[in-house]
Amino acid sequence: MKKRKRLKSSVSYIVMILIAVIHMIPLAVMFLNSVRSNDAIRKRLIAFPEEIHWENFVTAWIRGGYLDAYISNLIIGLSAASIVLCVTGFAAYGIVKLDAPGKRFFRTYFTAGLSIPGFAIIATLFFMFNRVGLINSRIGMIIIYSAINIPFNFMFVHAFFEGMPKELDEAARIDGASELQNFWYNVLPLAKPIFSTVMLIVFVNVWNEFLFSNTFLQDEKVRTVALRFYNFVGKNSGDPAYIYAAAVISVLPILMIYMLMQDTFVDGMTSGSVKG
Amino acid sequence: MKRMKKMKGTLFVLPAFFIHVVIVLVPAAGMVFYSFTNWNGLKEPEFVGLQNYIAMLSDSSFFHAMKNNLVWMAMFLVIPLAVGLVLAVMLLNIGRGQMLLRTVYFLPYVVGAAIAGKVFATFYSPYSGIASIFQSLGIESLSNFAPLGNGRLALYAVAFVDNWHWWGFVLVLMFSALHQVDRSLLEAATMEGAGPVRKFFSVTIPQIKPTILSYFTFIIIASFTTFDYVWIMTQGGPANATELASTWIYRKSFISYEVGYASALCTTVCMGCLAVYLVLAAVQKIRGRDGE
Repeated sequence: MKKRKRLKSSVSYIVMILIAVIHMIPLAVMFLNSVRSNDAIRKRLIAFPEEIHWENFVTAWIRGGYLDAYISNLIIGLSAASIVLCVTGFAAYGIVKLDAPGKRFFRTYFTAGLSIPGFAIIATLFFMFNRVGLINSRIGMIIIYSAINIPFNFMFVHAFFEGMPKELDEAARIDGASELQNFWYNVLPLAKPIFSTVMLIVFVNVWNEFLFSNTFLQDEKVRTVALRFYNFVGKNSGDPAYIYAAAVISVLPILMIYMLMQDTFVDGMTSGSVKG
Repeated sequence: MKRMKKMKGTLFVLPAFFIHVVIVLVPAAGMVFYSFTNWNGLKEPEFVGLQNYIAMLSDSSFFHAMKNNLVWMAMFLVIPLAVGLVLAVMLLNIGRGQMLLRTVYFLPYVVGAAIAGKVFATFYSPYSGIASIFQSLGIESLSNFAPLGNGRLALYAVAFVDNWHWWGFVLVLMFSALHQVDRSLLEAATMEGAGPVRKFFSVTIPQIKPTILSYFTFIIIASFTTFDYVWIMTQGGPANATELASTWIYRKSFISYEVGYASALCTTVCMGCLAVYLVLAAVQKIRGRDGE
């Protein structure tokens, strides 16, 4: 009986590891090909590199204009993440801790806001922004990303605040602390992990977002990393090695953050999204 | 005094509310408004009543696109759920390596659509992609393998990439739902002599039904608003073979500048999604009440 069980578990190990390996093939090919030569790739898509061509990265970095792209992405991503963090933190604080009038309305509003697709707003927003000169503008993108990331992150922070003990706030109020002081000295230290999750979610969403950025950022100078890569592939279709190197450059920061903070990542991205 | 304090609470909520209203709610309402006009994005819009909606009824490209959305939906209702759920059950029953495997399965989800889409498009390229493998193996019939250029295969080739990117996410969802399944029921079923397949369908599935139902709701709606992979890999081509409602609306808005008409299409799709959502939520509510 025990033997059978062990056999069964080793069979499922083998199946699962096999699937994991197959699952990783596309990324493995991408990484391997990023250091192979164009000719070698054209001859055979999947192979180990015979000689390492690190210079592919230099070529891709320069041709793709990745310095500008990284700067653009960092500015937009960090700004949007900070704004989302502040406003959702305050909103959840107001609703949970201060018992704001109309809290039911606000909660319903943000829940409903979660389900408005990007499609429903993009055309009107584009021509609206066109009038006020926010096309090809990092500020325009920061505003859009802040707005569309508010509902999900509000729900996330809200759920966390709901679970916090109320006694702390009352103690602070008896001591005569103002609401901002209470927020800063009491709530913030406890909520640090959840706040870093919010920063992470927004930053990664911005890094990977395509629909809005591709529509609103047409000027090469302000385009983000994903968009640079999108254009790069079109312009360098004859040089697959540079495409793979550019892909690695485009995805590496996110993969590294994922490896370092995978629990934050997985919990943050899956919690509340499709759960019943 | 107490009232003052409470008003302060509302003050805390207003920044988030204000940003969202201006950037999301106002344009969304604008879309519904412009759907009754002939706006091209620049000139002053003129009111045309229901004309856009009537024109939509004879827009065969739009209906063709909706058919592709249905195919897309069917694929995503079944494939990621089946793969994700089966692997989540397997993952739950092993001890060591559980977290490592979860990390690997989830990993493609953090790769952006533009990167995954374009890397796979390079794999699909007839010059340096999978075709070269068939060539070197001497399989002549597949040496021109270029699924994105083939109207019959393109939609599936694109959906394959989105599936690759997505099922690990579904696995994690199902994995955390399975954690809440009552183990004693499973043990009781084992004592009664039920096999793993039987246990899966009669014990596990009924217990995570709410999660599965929300997954279905999510997919039905998401399938009608999906855009990234198709636009990145084929832009709806070749010859409209992969056109989706979203890519068609996008084309109408930003390439032919028929913003009024595009708004009518988009309003229709959004209302459809809303209706589906309301019906499914009502069904879930009624069933939940019966269950108690």
